[in-house]
Amino acid sequence: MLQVKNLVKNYGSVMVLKGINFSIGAGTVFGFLGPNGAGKSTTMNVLTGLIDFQDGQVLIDGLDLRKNKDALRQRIGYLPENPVYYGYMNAPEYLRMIGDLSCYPQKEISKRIDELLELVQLTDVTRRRIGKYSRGMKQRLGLAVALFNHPQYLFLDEPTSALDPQGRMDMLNLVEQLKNLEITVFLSTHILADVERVCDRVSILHQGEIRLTEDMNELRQKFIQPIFDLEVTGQLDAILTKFSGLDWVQDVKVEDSQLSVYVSDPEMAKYKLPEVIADFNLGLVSYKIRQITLEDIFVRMVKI
Amino acid sequence: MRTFKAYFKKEIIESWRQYRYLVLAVGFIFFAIADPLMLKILPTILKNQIPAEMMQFMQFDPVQAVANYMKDIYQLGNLFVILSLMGIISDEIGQEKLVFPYSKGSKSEGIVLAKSIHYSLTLLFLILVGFILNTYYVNLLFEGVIVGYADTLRSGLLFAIYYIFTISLLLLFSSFTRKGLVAGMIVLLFNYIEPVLYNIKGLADWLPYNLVRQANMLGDLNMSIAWKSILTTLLYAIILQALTIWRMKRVEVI
Amino acid sequence: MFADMSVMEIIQLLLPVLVIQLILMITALFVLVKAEKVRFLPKWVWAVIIVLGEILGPIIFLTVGREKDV
Repeated sequence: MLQVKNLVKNYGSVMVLKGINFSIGAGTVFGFLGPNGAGKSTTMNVLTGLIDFQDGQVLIDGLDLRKNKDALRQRIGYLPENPVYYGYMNAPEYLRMIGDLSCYPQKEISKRIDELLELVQLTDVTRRRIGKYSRGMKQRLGLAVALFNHPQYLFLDEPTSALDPQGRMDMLNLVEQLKNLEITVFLSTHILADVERVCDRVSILHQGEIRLTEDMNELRQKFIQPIFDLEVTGQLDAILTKFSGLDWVQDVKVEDSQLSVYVSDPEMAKYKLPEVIADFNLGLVSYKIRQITLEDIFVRMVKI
Repeated sequence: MRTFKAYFKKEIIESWRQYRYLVLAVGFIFFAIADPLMLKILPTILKNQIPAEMMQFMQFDPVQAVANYMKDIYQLGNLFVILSLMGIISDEIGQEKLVFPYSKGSKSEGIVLAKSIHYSLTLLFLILVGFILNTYYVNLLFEGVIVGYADTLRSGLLFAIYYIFTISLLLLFSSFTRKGLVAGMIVLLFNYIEPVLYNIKGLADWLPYNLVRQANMLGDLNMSIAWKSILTTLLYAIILQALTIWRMKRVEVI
Repeated sequence: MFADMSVMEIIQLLLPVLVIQLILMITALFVLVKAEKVRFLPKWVWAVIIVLGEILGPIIFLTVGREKDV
């Protein structure tokens, strides 16, 4: 269990985290969403004990992070946004060093290195210096480093942001595999599709404040408010005037010939909307009920 | 202890693959051989250009030749050591190389001590080899009283202790900046100021530079004066390294 | 001692120095050629510095000009 209580972090007079609160149960994959500059990396650095904070409390398994840094570091693995290595080493050399630094049992280090290189698919490039690795390979090696000492908590800061589509897929597959290891994963990102794919619970951070914390399932339920996406041909003015007069239509967004009709009662709208369209001289190219996506929620949350 | 071991190994790999051993070896060993040779050849080159009565000033004995080597490795050696070690900690902080190690719970004592001991041993070895080679060559090339190996090795040891101080100074300043050049410049400046401070009465005995002066005495060295210098300099080194460890416990590595 | 030394003998004495310098120069050129990127100056300028810079040329390249992290 990871609990964050009223966490405050300033850089000089700039308040980066304005008293944030959330908690994560064991074994959860927790998505930490927010636009760039929201304070995601700062939160990660605080939670992993790399930087100090001004106010509030961080509890991991009930232990205060400030007072038990050394003990808690044994339970934490961190993959920073930009993993930096000693570029002149190769992967086994670097991992061996990490093994020593985390006081891993001496005799089992070699076995653990093989195991991890297998997991992150770097067994073919063990002789190459890390400085010559691609971005995706560095990111995967970073995961191996973070996982080295069997952490119960894994912090991944934007693990997919800088990767090409193939690298991103590989990374997400790895995160999904971690679910089976019962590791609590704290995943910060601004890529919503990644969160939808792997996370159980999500927080949205904006301007140093938590705007929302919900289970993904509940979130989908709570915010379901279907939108009807229409593509039509013809003059739109008349139908738009009509929509603005209907009380069950909340909003209409127009983009060229695409209409997004936000309705209050989707059940009723299912019957009434076709009637309305039929009243006007329009060609209907497509008609679709959109399920709300995390993106819609996200945009709404960071607008407030 | 495991941090110490990990970082000691890391420094060996780094120094080897980044050609740091090569640079340092050239700094101390190349001049051990080149220096007496240049001194020897100088009169031949200048034979037709300077009057004959000046030539007698161009004749050196072994003691003068060793002194010339010591002058060179004080000036150039400092430059080589500072150039190759100025980023010793600042590069690690500035390029965020300590994020993974710190997140794994590495101990700053281990990191700082591994670095200081590794480079102290490296320089001790290179300086002693340099002095042995130099002694061999000056005795071979120059006429006069032979210089004893025991004397030059003792001077080499004093030099090595002087360089342990330089390393400690680099460690401390390097831990306070993200740009190695800044640390390098400060230590270089200190090295230039020190001989000036040496002229102030009462201060001379307390300066690490005194070790360099003592080393120059070779056979005439008074050990009781040298001991005082050795102990004060080692004390400075310990204080500087303790401050570096203190700093590294608080530094934000990201 | 010096007066009776032939040119050949002087060259023999100089040999170790020349060998060290040559090793250093070749190492530096090798590093330069293999490097994908170098810092501050174009590659050919570094090559000139290494070849003509006597002992300090290769040293300056290896400490300053080389890309640190590979």
